[in-house]
Amino acid sequence: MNTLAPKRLSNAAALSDEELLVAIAQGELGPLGVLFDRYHEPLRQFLLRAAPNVSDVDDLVQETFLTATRAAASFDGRASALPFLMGIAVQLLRRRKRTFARLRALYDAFCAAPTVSRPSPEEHVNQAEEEALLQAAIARLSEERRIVLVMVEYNGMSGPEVARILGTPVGTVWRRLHEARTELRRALERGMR
Amino acid sequence: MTSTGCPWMNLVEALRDGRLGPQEAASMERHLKGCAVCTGLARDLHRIGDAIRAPREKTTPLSHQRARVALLERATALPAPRGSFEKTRLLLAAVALTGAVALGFFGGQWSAATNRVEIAQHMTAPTRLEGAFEPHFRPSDDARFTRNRSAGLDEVILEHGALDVARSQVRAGERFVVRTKDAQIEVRATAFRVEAKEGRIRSVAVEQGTAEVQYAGFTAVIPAGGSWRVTDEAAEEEKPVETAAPDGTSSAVVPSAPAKEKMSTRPAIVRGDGWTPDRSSEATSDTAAEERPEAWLPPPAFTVFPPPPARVPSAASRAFADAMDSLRRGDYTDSAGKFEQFVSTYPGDARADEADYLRAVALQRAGRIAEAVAAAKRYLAARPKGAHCADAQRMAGN
Repeated sequence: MNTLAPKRLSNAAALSDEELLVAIAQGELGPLGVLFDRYHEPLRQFLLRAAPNVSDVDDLVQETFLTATRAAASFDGRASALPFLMGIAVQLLRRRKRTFARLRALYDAFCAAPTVSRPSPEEHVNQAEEEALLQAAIARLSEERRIVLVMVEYNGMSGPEVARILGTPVGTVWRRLHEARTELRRALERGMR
Repeated sequence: MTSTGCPWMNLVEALRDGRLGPQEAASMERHLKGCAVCTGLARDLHRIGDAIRAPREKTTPLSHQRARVALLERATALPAPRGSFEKTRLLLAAVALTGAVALGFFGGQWSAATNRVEIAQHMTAPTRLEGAFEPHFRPSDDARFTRNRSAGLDEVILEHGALDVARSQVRAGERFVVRTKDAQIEVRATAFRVEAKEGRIRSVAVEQGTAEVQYAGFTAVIPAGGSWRVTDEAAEEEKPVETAAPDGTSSAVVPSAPAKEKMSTRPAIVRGDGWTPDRSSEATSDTAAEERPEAWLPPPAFTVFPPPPARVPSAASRAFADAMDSLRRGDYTDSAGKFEQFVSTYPGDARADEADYLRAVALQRAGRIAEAVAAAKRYLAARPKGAHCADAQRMAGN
């Protein structure tokens, strides 16, 4: 990480992601607001898809940015900070898995899960019904499969990029992606029967 | 739905994910045109992708703004980020090197107590290696104080005596506060001196930076080179050498001798229990000034501070909080008036945008719809890029 001349902080909105994170690592808070403005919505949209069972996505987004202030010094200087933030968010999701809060969230999600009734033949042609079926199936995917699917399909990331963020081999990424798609296709097939 | 049937099926996913080379991709695309099984699979994958990309609820500008404020508040409460391991390692190496040099320098002359002070003096780390933001305290012999450090707040409670403090600067998001029983000093100074007696503030002198003294409902901002001291009657009884401030107010910012001179003589001044002859001669009282006219300088820009002037930042905060309180209480008419007053009094304040919008909200809740619409339109005209434009437009009926 480079050091940042203080005078450049006067126009934080014009700074690159790397410069913002350098400033944040040095204890500046203004650049954190700029980073939040840039990536709050993309990160939130990612989490809405990757963690549909999490009831407090906005809290998770906040936690991600707060953690980023502590981890800013480890930013590797790539053009966009979004993959860096996504990596933090995924780690936070994994950590939640090991806590009671996670169990509670699962329970809440179970209680609130949409009940997918077997569609009638007339409904087969209904696109909205099929969409609901797919969304319910996506929500039932395991978290690791869903995260890979969202990163590839929504964020348009390559396999190596996803592997880098998740800290897994590229082969594992492709395997999870294939398993996720297979599971969803089976859900579609069941719905069509 | 696709199920089984084509040996090329496994390549459909690979094609979609960009894992095929140009030649393989071209032949796979040709295959797709003639294979119903693979085409069905590709369609399924496309539908899955569409389901993932299906739009989700977006945050409104207002909730974005609120989340932003909440984030910055929480970040402010975080402990300061620690330096990288490389910096720590460098610092340790420097300290070890300094220690080694000091050991070599003193060599065989090391002998218990007599050399300890000398060694300590030589082992002082270079300024740039010392904690860049760590304050350095120099208390008087009789000083009693405690220091509490929590997230973002460094608080010193001074019970008695004098305390000289030097620090590089207060970092963004952090506060450095000195308290006595009757006063609070919000310090933005980098070198200053505070004196107290039996828990009560006596004086503050600032060498560099600024300090804001809150005492008995008064707020005084002390610039670099200035000083402040209590001049109430009780203090006069304790300090017969001094006289009351000319206007008889309970606190005053008074001109002082050049700060550097004052600070340079501190070690001699702070000896004893407080008001020794040395100290009284240093105090900038009228009597002392008459005896030593050269001690008086022309009054600088800072003067006596009456109850908080309108431009003191805390007054703006109070005005905004007052308006918010009215809004929460349901006194919407009062709230609208206060927000309007806030916007006109503090047009440059960061909360002016919020206040201008909340005025329209308050009017709407008061049932004064026409005025609320007019207020929303005024907001949109005055702040075309304001944080609440979307809500204001709804309110204005656009």
